[in-house]
Amino acid sequence: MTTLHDRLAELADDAPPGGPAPELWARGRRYHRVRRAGTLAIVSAAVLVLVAITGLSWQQSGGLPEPAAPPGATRALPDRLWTPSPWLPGTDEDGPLGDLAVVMRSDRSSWSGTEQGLVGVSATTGEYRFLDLPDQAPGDVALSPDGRKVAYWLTGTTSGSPSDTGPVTGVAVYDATTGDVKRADISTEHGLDASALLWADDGELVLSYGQYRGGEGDDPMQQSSATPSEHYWWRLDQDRPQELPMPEGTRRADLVGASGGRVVLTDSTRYWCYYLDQPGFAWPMLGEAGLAMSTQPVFLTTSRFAVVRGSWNPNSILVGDASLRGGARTHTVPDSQGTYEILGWDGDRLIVERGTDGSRRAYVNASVFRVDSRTGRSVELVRLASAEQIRQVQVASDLYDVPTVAGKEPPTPFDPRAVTGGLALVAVLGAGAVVVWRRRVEA
Amino acid sequence: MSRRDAERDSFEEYVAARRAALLRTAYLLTGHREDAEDLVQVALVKVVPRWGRIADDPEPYVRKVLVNESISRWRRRRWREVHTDTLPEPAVEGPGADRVALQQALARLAPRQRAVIVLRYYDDLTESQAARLLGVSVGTVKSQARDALRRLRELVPDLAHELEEVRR
Repeated sequence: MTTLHDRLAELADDAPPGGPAPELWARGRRYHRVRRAGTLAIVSAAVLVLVAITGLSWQQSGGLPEPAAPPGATRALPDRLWTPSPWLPGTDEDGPLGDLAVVMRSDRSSWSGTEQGLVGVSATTGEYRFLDLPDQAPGDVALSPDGRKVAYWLTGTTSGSPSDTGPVTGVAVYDATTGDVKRADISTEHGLDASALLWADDGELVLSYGQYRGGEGDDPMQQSSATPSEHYWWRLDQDRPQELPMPEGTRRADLVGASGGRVVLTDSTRYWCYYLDQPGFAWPMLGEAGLAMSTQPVFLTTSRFAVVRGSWNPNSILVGDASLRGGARTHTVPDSQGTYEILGWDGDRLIVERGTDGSRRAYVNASVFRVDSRTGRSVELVRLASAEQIRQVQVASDLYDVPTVAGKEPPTPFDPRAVTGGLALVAVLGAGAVVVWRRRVEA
Repeated sequence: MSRRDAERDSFEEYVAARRAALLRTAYLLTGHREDAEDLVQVALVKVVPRWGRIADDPEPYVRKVLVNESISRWRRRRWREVHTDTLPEPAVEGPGADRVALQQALARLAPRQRAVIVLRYYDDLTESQAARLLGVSVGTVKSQARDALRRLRELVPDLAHELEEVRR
């Protein structure tokens, strides 16, 4: 009986007999060599591209972090600032930056998104790096006059329900040289309403805060209101801030300025000078009739004050004798109408952020200037990257009188997500090309 | 004699001994004499780089390359050839007509189905041997064989008896 096997065998009888097949072995060896050479070429090309991408990415990231400057290295302000890349490394990765010339707020990107970060600029190397401040709460930061410390508000756990996400629960000081953090946790039920954080001197911090009255689940009014701010003084040789005893009439005054061991208080109609070494007493500085008071921060020496006029910017600078009771003698600094912000005093001269053309036009290029408070003559100290850096920059005030040095442009690392994607794409394309080549190469 | 020379001799001995059998299988897989010759040559060339590792028992690997190359070629040609749903009537009458009918019916099968038929019912491989050679599961071999036999019964009614025997 015929089977399917028989039928197929019968059909297979039509197969060619198979004549001579010379050089099969040689063809096989040649096929092997060509296939291997092609594979090697594709893999080499892929590896070259991978190395090129990695090398370019490494080069863009600025390579290895610079070593910390030796003690006693020259410190100075850079003569210009750049907008930092959001992908700059942080101090958690590259270590402390050392003495700082500048800190500035800037966007910081991660694999999961972008948020605001704080960039430090080294006073010795000019290097830029994000400052990783442990448990940092949103809010003010303050660079110490010597550029060695950064004060910031802490977030943590409240004893009751927090008034908001990331409640303020203390204050801390980051040492830019060692990376150490000195913390002062403050007991709070719903979180602190932080209102001021200023350096009164290199080792002295003044701060103000109230206590939120309610948390999640409480009445919304309670949740959004806080007790009046109290003022505190934290000498860093002590464990925690001490409350400043306030004289009658100044209890509701806001803390608006500090320097040289003194703080400035205002209730929006009057100003007082509070000497930290004379607790419980505040000297009236400017009388009720003396000024159309500004909501801007006030900067003072032992005898003089400076403030940007009015409640909008840019505006001119008002300076005057701070020691008078009532009817202060004041004058407007000539050609100062383009001033956005006063950063401090340098002797008789003011350090200000101002549009570079001196006009009141908003969003022009801006720089930090040293301005003679009497003549208005100005010298550009630090050119800002753009007007967007106005009010985002703090400068170590001890460096105002040190000659500036040429600023150093920070690296602009590639987005690591794009780099990783590119590497993966090259690897996949390379693997695909190898597979296709090995299948298609003629035998 | 070097190792490479020994491998070459072994390869040439295998080719001399098995080329005709491979051509018969290749002919059933392709349905064309020239294609069968080319398929066998390519399969043999492709196994040369591995000969040192397979020389002891080259047949399974050679057949694996043969079948896979056959399927790959069909896939490549599919895009270049114009297909038709109606086969021309067998040109041969009489005793040879069944053979032509079977050849044309095999040509209508999908390449993997054709390979299953050839491996199972011409080369007499078991289902698991065929599955290993094709790189598929035994279940796939079973289903491909079932579908292929049903299709052959439809295309070549005269073969129904033989195909029924296979089913049993």
